[in-house]
Amino acid sequence: MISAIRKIDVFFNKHLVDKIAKYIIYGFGAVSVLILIAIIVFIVISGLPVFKEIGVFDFIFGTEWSVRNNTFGIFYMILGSLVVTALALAFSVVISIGCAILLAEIAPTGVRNVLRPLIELLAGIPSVVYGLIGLVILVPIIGEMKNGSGFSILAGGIVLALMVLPTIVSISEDAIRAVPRSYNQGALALGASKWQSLWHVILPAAKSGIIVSIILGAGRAIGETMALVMVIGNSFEMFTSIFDPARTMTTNIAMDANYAEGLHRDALFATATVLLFTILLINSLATVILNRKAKVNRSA
Amino acid sequence: MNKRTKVLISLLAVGILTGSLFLGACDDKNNGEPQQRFNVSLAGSTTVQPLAEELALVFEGKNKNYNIIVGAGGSSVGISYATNGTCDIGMVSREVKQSELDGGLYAYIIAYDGIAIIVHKDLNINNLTRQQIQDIFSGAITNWQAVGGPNQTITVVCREESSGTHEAFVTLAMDGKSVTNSAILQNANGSLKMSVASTTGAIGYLSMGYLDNTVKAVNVDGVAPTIANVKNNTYTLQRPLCLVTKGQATGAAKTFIDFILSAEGQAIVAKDYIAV
Repeated sequence: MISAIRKIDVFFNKHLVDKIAKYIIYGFGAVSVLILIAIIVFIVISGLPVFKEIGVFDFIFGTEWSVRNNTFGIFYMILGSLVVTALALAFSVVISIGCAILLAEIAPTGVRNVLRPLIELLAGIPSVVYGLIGLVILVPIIGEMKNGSGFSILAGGIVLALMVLPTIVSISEDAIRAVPRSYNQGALALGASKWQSLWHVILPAAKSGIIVSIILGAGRAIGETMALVMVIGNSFEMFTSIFDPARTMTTNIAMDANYAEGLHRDALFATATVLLFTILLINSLATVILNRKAKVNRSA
Repeated sequence: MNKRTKVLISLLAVGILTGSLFLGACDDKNNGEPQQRFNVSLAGSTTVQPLAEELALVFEGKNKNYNIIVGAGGSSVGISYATNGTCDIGMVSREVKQSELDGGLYAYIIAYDGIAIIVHKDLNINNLTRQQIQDIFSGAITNWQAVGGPNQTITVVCREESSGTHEAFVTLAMDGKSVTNSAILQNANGSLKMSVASTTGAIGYLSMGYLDNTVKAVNVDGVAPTIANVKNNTYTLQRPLCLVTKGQATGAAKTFIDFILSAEGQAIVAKDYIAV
């Protein structure tokens, strides 16, 4: 390998090779960005007829979705997406951050080497499998509890909590690990206990990274589809508690996608547009927080 | 073992595997004359899908040079894919509408199928009248006590609007009235059955071909959903299962449809459905 590079160097100017390599790599970067832009443009343009015909306000705040009456409003679905995401975070945040602390600070290397691959494996389980487990185990249990149907926001929230756990654990573990060792050593040298150092020094220093991990977890939860379709019930009625079934923006698209035509099809793209902008908003929030933190660090 | 040997060994393994695949394929060809291959693609109703798959399996066994691909999607998908040529044959589990025939489609009725009203298997309900079914599915009745059952909330499970079973159910049992907005929605016969089976107090409707002991089918107006009762028209919740093609079927698609309509094909149909 090295000898091959030497041979090339004999024939080419070294700087020329560098330049070519640079452009090729820029090309790869450009391709991925272009694909992203193409997708966004396509979704937004496909959804435009709905915003024109129904109106942005009536589409977002409309409460009736009926193919028969050609009426499309996604307000309940937006609420469904937000509530199920919030519930998933409520279940998973404490466990995930506890797990991240364990991995980053407390666990001996042996435990860590076992635990971390296991959590990564959790991220590798396909979402349809989560859905199946939820449908066969979780839904009947919840149904038993309320003496009715177990298809509910609660079932969706629990399944999503499992699915966002690896995201939050790995990003907040990185954040905790990134806190300089000197902080901890300084705290300990001043007579703080391990717990005091963790709670008053390390966690505050890692705070913005942990918040980012939660935000990215929210982004993952709000976009999840397959597992939700199977456990949340997909009904059109407004939910009044977390034990009621609901429809989210993603399950709305999944349920109707394979047969929608005309304005109905456009309405699905419009749903995707709203979903996309929600996720973009969430992700840029994470970026803003990270950037602010970076600035603080530099000025400190 | 150094890196290079490892790489060599794994390359060798991959090579042997790929090679054996090719050899296997060649063996197949060398056995007979090189033949023309025919592909037929189907998509649409999940009610017709398992039947079509079984028919395809037998058909392919007899005609080695045919390859039948069966997809799902719902009856509306069957109509639209057959119309725009995405697939050769569309599967539809309801009567094909006049407007669809006017659009250039040609329909073949391959079987008749009953729609069973199913409930959770522990529910102490064995018979429902049409009026009760309408009241339950429209949301007018929400507790099983109202129809002589236990004090248990009713969970209505339905299919999405593209489903042929759903359209047939709304036409046949609901007199065109729509189902309640609070219904749990599932997008295939299989997942609907699973939902009813796993929810106490659940009720739904299902193609009779999908019935098994995980759910309980109730009598409608005292008539049991059996093949015999569909045949003699006493069980009225029934609809045709159709295959649609753009214009009359030709070539490979026609050969497959002819097989389905032959005595041999209809014998397979008669196992779970009603032959034409």
